This record gives sequence, structure tokens and C-alpha cells, in this order.
Amino acid sequence: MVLFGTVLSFGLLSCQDFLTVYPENQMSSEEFLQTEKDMEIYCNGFIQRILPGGLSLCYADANSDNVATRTSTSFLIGDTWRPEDQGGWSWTTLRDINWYLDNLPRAKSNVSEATYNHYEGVGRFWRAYFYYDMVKTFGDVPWYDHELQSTDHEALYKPRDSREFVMDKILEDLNFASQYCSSDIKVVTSSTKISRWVALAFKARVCLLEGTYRKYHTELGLQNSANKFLNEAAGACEALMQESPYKLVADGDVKTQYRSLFTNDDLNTREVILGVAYKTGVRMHNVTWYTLSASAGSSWSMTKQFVNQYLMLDGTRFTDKTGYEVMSYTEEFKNRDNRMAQTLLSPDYERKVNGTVRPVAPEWGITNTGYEIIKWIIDDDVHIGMTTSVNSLPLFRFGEVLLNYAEAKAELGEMSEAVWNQTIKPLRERAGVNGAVPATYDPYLAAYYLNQTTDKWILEVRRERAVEMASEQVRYDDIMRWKMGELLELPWYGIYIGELNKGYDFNGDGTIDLTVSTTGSASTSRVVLGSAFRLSEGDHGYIDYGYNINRMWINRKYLRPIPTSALQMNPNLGQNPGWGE
Amino acid sequence: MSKKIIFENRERDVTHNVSTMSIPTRCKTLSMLRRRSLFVLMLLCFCSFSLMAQKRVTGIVTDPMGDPVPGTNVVEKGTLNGTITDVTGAYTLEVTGANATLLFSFIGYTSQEILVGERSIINVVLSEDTQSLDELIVVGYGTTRRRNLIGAVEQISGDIVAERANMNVSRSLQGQVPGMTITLADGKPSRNASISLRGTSSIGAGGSALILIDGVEAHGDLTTVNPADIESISVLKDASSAAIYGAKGAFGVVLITTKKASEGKARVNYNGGVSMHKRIFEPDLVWNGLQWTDGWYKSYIEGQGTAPAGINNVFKYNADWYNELVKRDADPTLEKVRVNQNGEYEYFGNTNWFDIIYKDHTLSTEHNLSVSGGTEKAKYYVSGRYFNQGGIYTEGNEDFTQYNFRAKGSLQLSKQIMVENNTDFIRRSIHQPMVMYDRQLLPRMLQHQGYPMTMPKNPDGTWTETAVYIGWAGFVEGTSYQHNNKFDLKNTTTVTYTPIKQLILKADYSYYFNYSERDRVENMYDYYTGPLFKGTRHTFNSLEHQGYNNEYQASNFTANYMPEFNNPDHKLNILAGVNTEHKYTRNHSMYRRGLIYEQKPTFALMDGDYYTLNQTGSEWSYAGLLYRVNYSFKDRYLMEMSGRYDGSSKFPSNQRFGFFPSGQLGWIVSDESFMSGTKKWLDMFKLRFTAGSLGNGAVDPFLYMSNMTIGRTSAIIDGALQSYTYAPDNVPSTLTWETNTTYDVGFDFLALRNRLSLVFDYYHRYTTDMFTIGVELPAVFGATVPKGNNADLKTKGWEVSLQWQDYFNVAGKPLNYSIRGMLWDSRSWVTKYNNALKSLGTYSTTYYEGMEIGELWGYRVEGLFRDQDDINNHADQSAIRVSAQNILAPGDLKFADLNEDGFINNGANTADDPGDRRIVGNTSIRYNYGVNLGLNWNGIGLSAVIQGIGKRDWYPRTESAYFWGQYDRPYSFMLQLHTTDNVWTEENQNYDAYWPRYRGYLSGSGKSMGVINDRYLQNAAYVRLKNMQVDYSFNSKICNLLHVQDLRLYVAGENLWTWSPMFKVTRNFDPEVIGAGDVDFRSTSGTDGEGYGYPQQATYTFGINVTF
Repeated sequence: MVLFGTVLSFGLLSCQDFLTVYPENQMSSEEFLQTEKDMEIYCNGFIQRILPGGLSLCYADANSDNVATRTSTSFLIGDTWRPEDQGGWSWTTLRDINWYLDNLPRAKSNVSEATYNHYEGVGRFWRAYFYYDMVKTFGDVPWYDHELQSTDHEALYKPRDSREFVMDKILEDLNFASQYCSSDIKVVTSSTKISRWVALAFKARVCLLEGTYRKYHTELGLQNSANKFLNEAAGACEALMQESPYKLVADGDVKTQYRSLFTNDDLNTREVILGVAYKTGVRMHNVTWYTLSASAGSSWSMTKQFVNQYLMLDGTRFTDKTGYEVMSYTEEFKNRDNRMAQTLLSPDYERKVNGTVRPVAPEWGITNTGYEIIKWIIDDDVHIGMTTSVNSLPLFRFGEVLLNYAEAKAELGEMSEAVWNQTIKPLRERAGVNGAVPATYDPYLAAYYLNQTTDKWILEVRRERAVEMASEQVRYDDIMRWKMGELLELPWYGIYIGELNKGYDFNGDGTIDLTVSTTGSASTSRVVLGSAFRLSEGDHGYIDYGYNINRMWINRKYLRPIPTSALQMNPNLGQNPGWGE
Repeated sequence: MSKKIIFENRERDVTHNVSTMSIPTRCKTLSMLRRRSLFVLMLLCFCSFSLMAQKRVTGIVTDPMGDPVPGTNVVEKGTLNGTITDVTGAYTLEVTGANATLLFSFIGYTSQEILVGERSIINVVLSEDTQSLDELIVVGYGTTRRRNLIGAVEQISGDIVAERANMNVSRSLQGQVPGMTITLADGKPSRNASISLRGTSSIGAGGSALILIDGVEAHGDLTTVNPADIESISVLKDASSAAIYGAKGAFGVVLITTKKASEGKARVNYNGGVSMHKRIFEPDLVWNGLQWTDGWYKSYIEGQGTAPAGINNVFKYNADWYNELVKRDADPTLEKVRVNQNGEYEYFGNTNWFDIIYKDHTLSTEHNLSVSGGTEKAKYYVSGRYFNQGGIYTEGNEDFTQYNFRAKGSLQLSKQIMVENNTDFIRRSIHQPMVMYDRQLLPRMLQHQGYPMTMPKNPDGTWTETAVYIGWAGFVEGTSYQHNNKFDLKNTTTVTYTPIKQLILKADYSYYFNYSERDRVENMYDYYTGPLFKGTRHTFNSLEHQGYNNEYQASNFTANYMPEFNNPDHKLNILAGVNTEHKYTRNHSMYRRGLIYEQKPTFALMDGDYYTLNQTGSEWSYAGLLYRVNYSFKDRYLMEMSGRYDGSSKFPSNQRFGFFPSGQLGWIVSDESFMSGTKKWLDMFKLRFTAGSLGNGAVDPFLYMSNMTIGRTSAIIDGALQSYTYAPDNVPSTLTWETNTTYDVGFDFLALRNRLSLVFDYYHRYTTDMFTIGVELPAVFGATVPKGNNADLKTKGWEVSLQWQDYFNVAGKPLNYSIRGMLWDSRSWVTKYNNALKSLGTYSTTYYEGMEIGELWGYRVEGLFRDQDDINNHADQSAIRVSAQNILAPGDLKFADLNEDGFINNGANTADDPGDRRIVGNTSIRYNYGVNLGLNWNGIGLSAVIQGIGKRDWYPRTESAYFWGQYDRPYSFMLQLHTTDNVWTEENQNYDAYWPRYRGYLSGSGKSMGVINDRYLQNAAYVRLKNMQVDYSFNSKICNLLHVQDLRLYVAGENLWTWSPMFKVTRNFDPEVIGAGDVDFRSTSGTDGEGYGYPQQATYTFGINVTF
């Protein structure tokens, strides 16, 4: 009866022991965050979970004024957006960050002060990163700098904190991060980790946004503090320009060096401060596929109004040329800023098709304006239909720092030729454009920006920013901070069409690339006017795509509504102006 | 009744089984009938051989009431000489002499033997057989007699599954047990079933029926047991019957008992067969290239508003190609491929990819061999089985093979001590070709890329891009596949010690070891888009290996005490015991890209940079104290109490233990003296009441501990993938058992000499403290509120089973027949849930208080818009999009503005403000039924199983292209049913058409076909002829000539006929397995199309069963 005895003792005597088991593949959270390795592992999680990649990075401008898409965001359609439709009220990331910052002191005794401060700085950088996005979206938001417990009722149900308060907190975090985050070569070299330079670049972006937002959004009554943020932005840029190792990539071919920043396999660590890296077989994205696929993408295309902003190589304005309004696609690319043909599919564009490089014209079905975006794609059709793109994608780069600096200075009224020569000039020269200071303001741009300003510096900085940063995730924010929402109603004009039923050969390869007609069936080389297309002058003019999509700007749209579900949970949040009670 | 002559023995079996009271199942009955018929057959044979008789005996056979019993078998014992009584109960038989013994037997009566002696008139009064009520029913930790059974327990014979051409028994159990709903995700031979007893019982921790094979947990897997080994399957449905399993029996218990070692000389049985399998459903698709292209173009323009630049992402489309397609369609003699001026191939095919890919039929074979025998002290049973089924594809070497081996033995060491051992092992190997691209399903790839114009090969024999893209090239070349191996070993050793007659002590220890592995090999293939243009898909090749180790140990110790009382009216049986269980799981996965030699997939020959290595696992322990007390008074008043005190390692120490008691009361009313008047026709009427509670602890282990999960980034940091982690989940504040309390009332009714039986049960079940989401907190909390024991559910249901069995004479020989019908139903409602706003999810995934499980909210469609005025005058429908431009046109669906607010929308998306949505249907399976028919005459048997469900609503998911066709993606399948006038077109202006304006993407999320509505809601009820079988048993003469004991041949068919109300709309789906996806590959049910799973097949089997 040994067995009986065994069973009995097994089952009864050591019952609690028998019923206590621990996981063998996980670390207890109490034992974690003790060493530098733990902190590093946790901070990798921020990069893994927070940073955008692929499409969300390359096409974040899709809903701005510059880009026509097949399906516009419903947020812009008429007066249809309701608080029920609103998402984005997610706070998981903040808990993740605050849990880290709350528990970090455990490691304090195990690492040097500098190391500890670096890792605290990284955590605070991400908190600022999170809140920046929330403030841009919702304006006032509740501020939390500790992990909430389910019993913290007061905090859970508190009203929103003011934009001013939250922005000051963000600034505190960013100041800490840009002071204490490491600038050690180990952290900086790959452009994939948070360093002091990343913190400064981000701080410049945040402060520029807030400074201009306060300046132009007079309804907030915060104009007085606008300059504080503009000065912070300028200061951050100066630190980068003077102390950091970053430079513009500008010693190569003016026809290719700009685009190489976006299409190369590796991040160009000379200019790129932080980026998202890709590698064959290890991590790949589908931007080329989505851009060039007939069915997958949203036919993102640039608008004529945007394309007009590219300067001539001699530094003169395209819109000052006589007859610019009726210039054909083939003509308008001549002698333009070299960034234009590096951003858009030009008459000279070639792509590898079936292994052979050959001219490729805009395809109607991929583009709806004729201005097909090539900035992010690989010029080889093997990527069409496969998630195989491995070009690494910049997120913060030195070019933007120069633009931020120039704009902060211009908005502060401190722009000068010296500042110009440090910022706009080298950017233009990198693209082969004469970088001389313009003598007068550009009336085309002034009109484009609804005559908000005739300050030539401000307008030229805006041009430069639009052109340099096209499709780099900043345009929508720019429109919002400049209070230029009306631009989102602009028609999506495409290339100029002189006459109906005429076959156009865009790149001189002998095949007809486009016929616009009122009958027949639409194809990749035939646009049929009707439900989606018309010409701006009826039988000639700009292709006017999506004219019947009722895009409508209403000033309340500068802020998103607090989602209904969030208000139902906590009525103390209150709704944003114009979105209901 | 004591002498062991084989015929007698069987006849005894027959009598007692056929008359089995409450729920004798079809197969048991049938097998009895078969044996009976064998007997009759032999008897008749013998009659015709009639030996010279020396004495004539006559007489009348009556029942205890004095009524004649026609059809009684009268046989001279030890011979084949016999006859049957006529309608007056009279018989006449010539016997060999005074020493002859006559054997009288008839269904429902106890057989009698009478020595003839000098008498020439022998009248016999047959007494009714009560043995059916003495049938042993397997219950938890023991057996009980049918008569004494109070709980809702159903037992069926193993015969029911032994001769069905299924690799796993679960398919054969469908429609056999009232209350047991068996659903299979698809038709794969190895697919494990989901077994649900009495409907939904938890929306929290979830779980499924506890399956025990010979008392040892089978971990939910019914696919491994050899069907031929099964002696009986007992299903404990109500809480009180399962209570002895405490915290593991909350979803009911299925007890599978394998065949026992039997005493006697070695008995060898072989059962084998060969089957042919054929797909039941094939979608009816358009395979004409031009017709398809026209459909694609139309739906694309209607859906997107702009011109297509190509057909999906790689097939080039332009006017030249199209004009050529028109030309070549008109003249079929033209080649289907050409090379254009760019040197690229252009295709103009009418390729039916299904014909290329799928075989017409496939074969399977099965061989079973068992040997049993032994002495009084040592007995053995050994069996083995080989099963193999081929694949459904013309290429790819798909193969399912399983080997089973079982050895059982018992040894009576002394009068008091018996030792038993039961060893079982299985080895399974499955080889399946696999689509390399993201391990998608082949139908999904065909939907996206397999247009009729495309072709598998180029004129020079190279692969086309389509063939490579959809994965077909990989199938043919055989170098992209998944291979599964499974090895299970189980051993149970039991010691039984009987110190005194009234006390039985039993101890057992079981050890289960499982090792399973899954290898996936993915390769790249070259294709040509022009004679000189080579391409490759995809960009890497890879090898993945997953290894799963499971080790499980269980031990039980029970004491069973049955005191004897001086007053025999009292009967008492006490059982008490201890049970402990421990399970340990460890899984490893390895993945690397870069095979150096594609034909040699091994980690030793790889060079890729990208790899992953991971280890996961879990561990849990259970311990429980159990008891059961049975008491009966006068065998008429029955009582049972049982319960269990359980502990689980999955719960924190302060919430670890739970007590789950139950009680049962039974009353055999028909035995009461006031019922004596009904004796003539009523055999038994028993009322049953039970109440019991069970626990459910089917949550993941370690939930109450706060742990860091460390993974490997997909982000490249410092040039490489790194480790990363994130904040731990919040720990639940409550984490303990869900409790499941059932009240069951039922009766057993048996009448007309056991020919009619009716069993009925009605129950209420309350599932409380279900482990579900916590009280919702504002989103700023930043985490999912930890789950807790927060929700309650109520279920009401009933089960009825009705059987009639009888015989009549055809051509002087009895034709036995039986028919059994079963019907059951249940509904469940959420009675408590943390969803104060009653917000509705998107697809019945959110619960709220008052919700019925399975309910579907949807819009009402009024019809199709007639003209622009109709659109202008209608409510604003813009929230339900129709196209990229979202501009309504005639022929679009018109939704009803039910709340008359001028907008068609979902309001606040809550049950109280659902906008224009209402409950339009329910996805729960309702009114399950099964019908079993058996017929037997002169050695020929015929049986049939019909199974179905009476109600179930189904709304096709957005990507179900077999339903939506080009209303899904324009480049999806084009359905033949979308080519008729039942589709609205500008030309036909048919406003009564079922299908609207032909717009692509219209079934997409939030679009007018993608939102649930009453118009496209399908009634997916069905009735199916699951099984039909004809067999013939050879008579003893032939058997003797062949030197065998028994020989039987049979032909059987499975899934022979199906009907469903949804066939009015479409026959592209098997209503039994509509589900999406295939868990063996990429598991994305919901986005993948429904009906893309492995097809169910009709099966035709020829088999032989022989005993030596």
C-alpha cells in the first residue's frame, strides 16, 4: 500500500505547496528594473511600441492640403463628424511610460548618476512625445505623471488640465531630456535611439508648434506666451546647429542627394537624427507596394497648387513666369528645383520594370492628379505587390532643424540674412537652387495663405518647409498651427489639360500616356470626365479630382472632439468648443 | 440461463439490450438487432435442414397478463431446430425427444428454458425482462444501474463510432446525444471537435466538456482514441452528475470507456475498410476570362469611381489587352498566351483553377486488429490500428496517418487484490502543402489572384507569376509545407483492494506524455512574366520548428463502502476519494530565414540573418476531495448526494479552494401500488430532480502574479533586433472559480413492453462569477481593467428523446426496426455584466445585461433605390458608405429609418439607443436534432443517421467572397449567381432583384453590404443525412466453412445529402462548416473568407468485420 500512502501524502499533506507554481518564462515585475540592462530593455519597448513606421510615417500628410487621395478622411467631409466617430483617446502608452518612471528609482543604487539620468530622460522624452500628440489632437487633456491605480478615483475622474499647464509640463520633460539624455557616440551613432540630440530636435518641433499655435490661434488668448515657445524652439535648434555632429547631406549630386535620404537602405546618420531602420529579410515595409498598387493604396497624389511652389533653379518663382497657369506637365518640370523631380514622378523618371530600366509615365489609377509621389518608393517594380521595401525612414533630420530655426526666427521677427544663409540657403543649394535672399514677398504664396501675412521671410520659410518636408508627417500640423484650415477645402487640382480627346505623351517615349475625354471607358491612360473628374474650365484646365467630395472646413475642427465614450465615462472632461455641450 | 452456449448468450444480450429502457442508442440497438438477426438466420437455415423429428410439441406463449405473445422464438436448445409463435401465440415444433430442452425468447421478455420430458403441450408464460434497467451505466468514479440513475446521463455504445469512416470519433457522435452539440471547424480528418453540452455555459473563462478516457483526462482531444477500442461513451450532462469532477466538469463530462479484457480463449477481431471521399460543395464560379473581366471592371468603377490601373496589384490591365481578350474569347482557337511589344506575357485564359487544384476524390484506408482473452486470474486486450487518408489536392502529397496501440491487462493477485494496467500510445503524422505567402489559405489566394484569364504555366513550361503567387507552384514542387508529428503515451495502473465484501479501495496513478512538433518549410519560386523576364516570390525562404512537450500526472484514491442492512429495503453506497493532477507544458519555437538548399530544410544548413527563438509554457496543479452517497428505499425512492472540495494553482492562495455540492432525488412512480392498474402497458415511469453546482477554473495559469513579458523587437535598434518589454498587466483583484449551478427535472417513460421509450429533461443553469472584464474605468487608466469574477449567465433548455422499436414479419421472417428521434434546445442570457452603458460591439463580441447570447443587431433594408428622387426623399444614409465617393445611385440598398430621425446610423451604439439597428437574428445553434433509423431482416441490416439544426442565423463576414463575389473586392471570385437578372443593372432596372448595383468593396466594413442587415442574413439551419449503412452478416455455415466465428460486410456512406434554407440564396457553403480560416495555417478568422476551410467530404466506405 505504498501507492496509497504516496497518493495521500501527495494530495493532502503538502497541498498548498503542490498548488503553488511559478512561471518559468517570465520575470517577476518586482525583481525587474534593477540594472542598466533592464532599463535598456524597457526603453527598447518604447521604440518598438510607439514609433510609427512604413505607411503611417510616409503618408501622414495624406489629409493635408498638399495631397489628393482616393478617399478623403471622413473628418473633413461636410458637417458629418461626430464625437461618436472620434477615436484616439488611448492612454496605454502613458501608463507604460509612467510605470517605468515610477519604478525606475529601484535601479538608482545600481548605476551611475549620468546613466540613471539618461534613462530617466528617455522616459520623460517619451512622455512628452505622447502628450504632444494628445495636445495637438484634443487641446486640453488631463496630465498624469504617475501610473494610475484603479482606486485613484479622484485622478481618474478629474477634469482636463489646461493646454498651458500641459505644455509647460511637456517642456519640463523635454528640458530634462535634452539636458540629461546621453550624447555619447554609443547612443547617437545608429540614429535609432533616443539621445540628447533627438530630444532637442523634438523639443524644437514641439515648441515651434506651440509658439505659432498660440500666435495664430488668438481665440486661446495665449498670444503673450507664444514667443516663449518660439525662443525655446530657436534655442533648441541653436544647440543642435552648434553642438551636434549632424549636418546636411549636401556634397553629392543635386539631382539625387535629397531623395537618397528617403530611399537608401540605411539611415543617413549624418543628417538623420532619429529614424526607423529597415533591413532585407529582417524588417520590411510596404510603402512601395501601397504607392504603386492599383488596389491597395489610396492613390496619394500631390496637388497643382503645391507643385507651383517649387522655385526655378535660378531662384525665381515659377508663378512669376508668364503662362505658368497653362503650362503642360512636360514643360513645367523644366529648370525647377531639383527636389521636385525627386518628390514627384517627372517626365525623366525611370523605373526598373521586369529587370530593365525604362521610362515610366504617371498612371491614372495610381495617381488622380498626375503628380505621382515617388519620394519614398524604390524604383523597381519587383516591390509592387510585395512587402519588400527596405529603405529606412527618417523621423527627425537636420534639414527640419534648419527649417524650424528659420521659422522660429521669422515668427519672432528676428530673421536676417545671416540666419537665412545658415538655414534656407543651404537647403536650396543642396537642390541646385540659387539660395539668394528674395527681394520681395511672393504674392502667389501670400494669396495661397489667404493673405494672412505679407512677410517675405515667413512666406519663404513656409515655401521651403512645404517643399523640403513634403510627405514627411508635418504638413497637417503646420496647417493647424498656422490656422489655415480653409486650405483643406481647396480643390485637388492636377496637371493642366489643354484640350479634350488629345493624346498626351508625357515622357516622349512614343506612347500616349493620357487622353481626357467625356466618353469611353476609363483606363490607366484615359481619364473619363464624370463622377470623379472634371476640368477646372469645363473643356480644358486643370484636372479637378474629387470635386464632388464635400470637404468642408469648420473652425471647431482645429481640435478633435472628446470621444463620446470618454465623456460618458467621465463627464468632467467637458467637450471641446463647437462639438456639443 | 446459465449455460454458456454462444447463441444463448447472445440471445440474452439481445433481450436485455433491445429492451433497454431509457435511452438505448441506435447503434447499440442495431448491433443487437444484427446479432439477433444472425441468430434468426441461422435458426432458419437449420430449419430447412430439418433433422428427423421424433416428437411434436405444441403450446401457447402468453405474457403475465395472459395475452398471447406472437413472434416468440422457440428453439430446441443445442440445435438449429426452431420456430416462431403465430398471432395467437401458438407454436408447433418437432423435437428430437424427451431430452430436448426448449428455449423461448422474445424481445422485452426474459428467456426461458424448459425440458420437454413427456409433455406434448407446453404453455409458457414469459415474464417481462427487467434487465435493461440493470444495464451498467458509467458515471464518475464508478458505475450505476440504469434503474437507479437520477442525473441527466446518456450512455451510448462504442459500436456507434467503430464502423464510421472517420479518423476521429467526434464526427460520429454528432446528433447522438441530446444536449451535446458537436461542431467542427472544417472537414480535415484530424480536426478536433468543439463539444458543447447544453449550450453556452461561460462567457468568461470559457472551456469545454471534460473528456476522460478510462478515467484519465484526454485534454479535450477526441481525435486520438481508436474508435474500435471504445466500449461505451457516457455523457454526464447536468451539474449533479458531473459534481464529482468538481471544478473541471463545469461544461459536462464525456467518459469514454475502452473495451475490457475478457476471459476465455483468444478472440481475434479484424475490422477494416477502404473509403472514397469526395468534396460536397464546390462554389459555382465564373471561369470565363472575358465575363470575369467585365464583372471586375464594372464593380471596380462602381466602387472606386476611378479607373483601375491594373487587376489587383500584379496583373496588368490596359485597353490593348482587353481588346485582345474580346477577340480571343470570340475565337477559341486562338492561343491563350501572347508576348506583347514589351516582351511580356499576356494571358487570355478561361482557367478553372478549382479543376486544376482539387482532386475529384481521395481515398482512405483503415485496419483494426484486436486480440483478447485470458483466464479468470489474468486477462488481456491488445489492439492496433492504422489509418491513412490522402489529400484533396492533385499535388502536394497531403497525407494523414495515424497509428494506435493499446494494451490492457488485469491480474488477480489474490482474492483481495487486483492490479490493472492500461497503456495507450498513438503516433500521428500529417503532411500538408502550404501557401508560402503568409501561410494564407489557398482559396484566399485564389480569390485575390486566381482570375480565370491567368494560367498556371507559360508556353515554355515555366511558372506564371499567378501560379507562384497563389502558392500553387509550391504545392506542385512540394517544397512549401507543414508537417505535424504527434506522439502520445498514456499509462494507468490501478490497484483494487477488497478487504471485506462491503469495502472496495482503489488507487490509480496515470502518466501522460506528449511530444508534438510542427515543421514549416517555406520556399521561393521563380516565374516568368515574359520569355526573358524572370521574377521570384517571395523574398526569403525559411524553416520553422515548434516543439510541444506535455507531461501530465494524475492520481486517485477512492474508498467505496456498501453496507448490508438487515432490512433489504435500505440500500446505501458511499464513495469518497482524493484526486490530484499536475500538468506541465513547455514549448519551443525556432524560426530562421535562409535555406541554403531548399530540398534540405534543416537548421544546420541555413545562413539567414533573421531568426527567432522562443520558449513558452505553463504549469498547473489541482487537488480535490470527492464524495458520493447513494441511498435508496425499496428501490423506489432514490437519493444521491455528491460533491467535491477543490483547489487550483491558478488562483491565489486565499481564493484557491471551492466546494461544489449536489443532490439528486428520484422516484419510480410506476412501482407504487396506486399505479398497479397501469402495469399492463406501463413498464416504468421515473421522475427525476437534481440540483448541483460545479466550478470552472479554466483560466490561464499565473494570472494573479505580476510578470514581465520580454520579447524580441521587430524594430531594428542599433542595427539589430533587441529584447524589449513593457508594463506588466494589472493583476485581477478577484480570481477564483466560476460557479455553474444547474436545476434539472426530468422523467423516463417506458411502455408497451419496452417498445416505446421517452426521456425528457428540462433545466435551468446559472453560471455566476464568470471571469470577465472589470468595471470600466476612464481610458486614462491606461490599461485593460483586470478581469474578475464579475458576470452571470442564465441558460434554459430542454432535451427529449423518443424511441419506438418493434418488428413485423416479412416473407415469414421478422423484420426488426427501430426509430429514435432526439431534439434539444437551449438559450442563454447575460444577467450581469460590466457594461453599464449597454454598448454594443461590432460583432456580438460585447455583452450587456439582458443580452441573449448570439444576438445579431442589424439594419432593416427596405429595398433598392428606384431613382434620384427616391434617394433625395430618403433619410440621410451617408454613414453607410457605398463607394469611395459615397454617392448613392439607383439600385443601391435603401435602409429603413427605424427611429425616424432622418439619419441612418447606429445611434449611440447601445442597446438603449441602437439608432436604426434592431435585433435581426441570432447566431446560436438552436433546435439540434438527430434521427436514427435501424432495420434488420434476414441478416441484412440497414441504418441511417440524420442530423441537423433547426435554426441558426448567419451574416456573411465582409471578406466571404463565396457569398459576396465581386461585391467584395472587384478582383474576387465572380459568382454564377451574380450573373443573373437577380442583380440590379442599369439595363434591367430590376428593383426586385436580391442583389444591388454591382459595386466592388460594397461588402467591406461599414459599407452597405458590410453592415449587418436583415436582407442578407441567412438561415443556416440544415438537415443532413450523416450516415447510411447497409450490411450483411454471413450465416454460421459459411462462417464455419471459412473457419471464422463471425463475418460481416458493410457499405456505408457519410454526408450523403444536405439541405438548408440558405440554398435558396447560395449553394456555395456547407451550412455545417461555414466558419472561416484554418487554424493549421494563418488564423485570421473574420478577415479571411468563410467557407475557405478544409472542405467536408462525402465518404463511401466498403468494410469487413471478421472475428476468429
